[in-house]
Amino acid sequence: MDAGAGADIVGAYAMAELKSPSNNGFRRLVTPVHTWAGLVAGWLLFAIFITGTLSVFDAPLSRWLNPELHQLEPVDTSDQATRLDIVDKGQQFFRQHAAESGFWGLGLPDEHQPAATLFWEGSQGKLETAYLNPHTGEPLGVQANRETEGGHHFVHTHFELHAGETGVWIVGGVTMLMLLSLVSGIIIHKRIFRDFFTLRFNKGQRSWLDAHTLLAVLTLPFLLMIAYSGLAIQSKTYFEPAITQHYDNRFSFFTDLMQEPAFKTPTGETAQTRDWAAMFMQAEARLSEPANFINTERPADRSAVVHVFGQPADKSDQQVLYYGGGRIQFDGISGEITHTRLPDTAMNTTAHAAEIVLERMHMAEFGGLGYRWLLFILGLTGAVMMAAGTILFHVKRRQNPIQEFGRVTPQVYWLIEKLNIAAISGLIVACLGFFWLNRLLPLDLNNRAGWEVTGFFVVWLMTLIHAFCRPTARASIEQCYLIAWLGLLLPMLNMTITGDHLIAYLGEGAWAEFSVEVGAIVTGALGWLIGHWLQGRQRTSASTSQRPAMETE
Amino acid sequence: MRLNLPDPLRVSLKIMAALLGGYLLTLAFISLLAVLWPARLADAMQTGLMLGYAFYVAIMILAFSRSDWLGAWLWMLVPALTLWGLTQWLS
Repeated sequence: MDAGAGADIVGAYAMAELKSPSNNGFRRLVTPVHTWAGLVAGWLLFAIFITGTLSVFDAPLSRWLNPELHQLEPVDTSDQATRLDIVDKGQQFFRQHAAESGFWGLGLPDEHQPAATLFWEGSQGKLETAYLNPHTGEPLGVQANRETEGGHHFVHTHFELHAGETGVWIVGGVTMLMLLSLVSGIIIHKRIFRDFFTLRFNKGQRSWLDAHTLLAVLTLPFLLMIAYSGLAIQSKTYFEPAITQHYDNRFSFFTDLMQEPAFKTPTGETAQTRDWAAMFMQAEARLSEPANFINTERPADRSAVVHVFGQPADKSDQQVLYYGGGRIQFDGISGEITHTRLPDTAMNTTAHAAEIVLERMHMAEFGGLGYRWLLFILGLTGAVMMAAGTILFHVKRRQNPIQEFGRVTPQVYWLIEKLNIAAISGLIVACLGFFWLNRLLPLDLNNRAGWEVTGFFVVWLMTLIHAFCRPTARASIEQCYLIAWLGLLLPMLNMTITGDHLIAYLGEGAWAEFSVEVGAIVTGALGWLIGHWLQGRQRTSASTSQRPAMETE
Repeated sequence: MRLNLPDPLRVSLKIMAALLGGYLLTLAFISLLAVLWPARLADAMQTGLMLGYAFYVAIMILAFSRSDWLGAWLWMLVPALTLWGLTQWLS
């Protein structure tokens, strides 16, 4: 390929784009919106997409991240006596360790989780968690249960950046920008079908544009679905000011929507919540299905409320999008049933059913493994599309600077390039770093799970500092090679620390753990290939140096 | 009125009009829909919550079709206040 001809085509295209009197005013007005909304949101959206894609497989990831827990002998919960026994053991734990708490919750063991999961409201409203050995009723120690965020780390980064309600708002804001970028992107590309069949390699800017457009068109239905459903399931937060025009708060709206008894307020009068096991048994009889979750609001107050949830999980592998779990509500002190929601009657109105369906599509709660893989591949494709878009931004300006910031333009472009590196390769480094920290941090470290998450963000910040300290082209090459080392060596690290390895996983049929390590190796190999390719390109451009240096140093 | 502002600032002001102004208009739209939609209040509210983002995006694109940022802001705030007033009057 003749490089000169390529540059000519790019130049001609850029000129045509600058003049383009044929473009109507509307498209011209929408173009900068797409550019800037896309760029600003793109940095965070790439992280949201990658962590969201990993969240699709949060259960297998959690298995790899907590190998000790899966040493526990599984318990057969298909027998009611076993279920009641575990529920009873859980309540005894709470009575001993969290008698004054404002909330207790217990999830029975299932195929992803061999221990009973207990959580409760600790001091200052902090959520506490413990795992109970279902055979003995004893909480699992740090040697039997690695204290880790597990796959939930990616879920929490995905929807709230580990920053609570503030994070939910930030994620919502950039998702709205994404929806806006999609719609404005469609408006810009009126030749959407022709673009779909166009991919020109080795044409610099044109290739990045083609890749960006092609991938976006290919995944457009998915991108629209995932952005819209992601926003819709958080509607009660984002649109709360509209709700409070008619209701006291989002909770009173929710109870009215579900036609349930209103939330109770604490009375201040102390009382004892009745035995869970009796209520659990009664609820299962009423639901005519096994239950898997029980909780209590204000267990030590006269206003205590107990909920028992039916088990809708057995339908999540079917081609059923429209189902609802049953739930029985009890007065915690008298033990009377105060509300009944039978299975599959949860969605009595179209508008609420719409939310449930969107939620199942977003969280891959139907269609089984096939749908999960589909979401995984589309999520990765979407992330690559965004990365191509942010790279396109500076490739375009490098070749044809349009001094849009006056005198400080080079500095702004420089900053954008650095942020691009940290947002793309830096995020991948941080994700792999999380897996390394999970194995490297000592098991008895205090607040270990918290340190894993802190470590993830520290690694991410370090990639930003690294990008600032090194020349731009070098920084991205070095980070790609770092991805390669972290990915390719992860199985070795695991073998050194836990003694588990790929062949053993294969022998045991431990597909979850096996796939996680293969995933790490594939990521590492891709990092190496891209690093190698970037290095090759840098050498050619340095040796032929017909054009001004690519670096802004 | 046309103020001679630098390009990124004008784009930012327009994005703000679309994002913030559009948000306020969407809230007003949802509140009004809750009163007007022929269903129980909670179901009408939920309908608005589900449709809100489609409305929001359409409104944002409208805001960008204004070439001046000030016009974009007016296009958001005047209808928002009208819808809000209507909701107060109806409920």
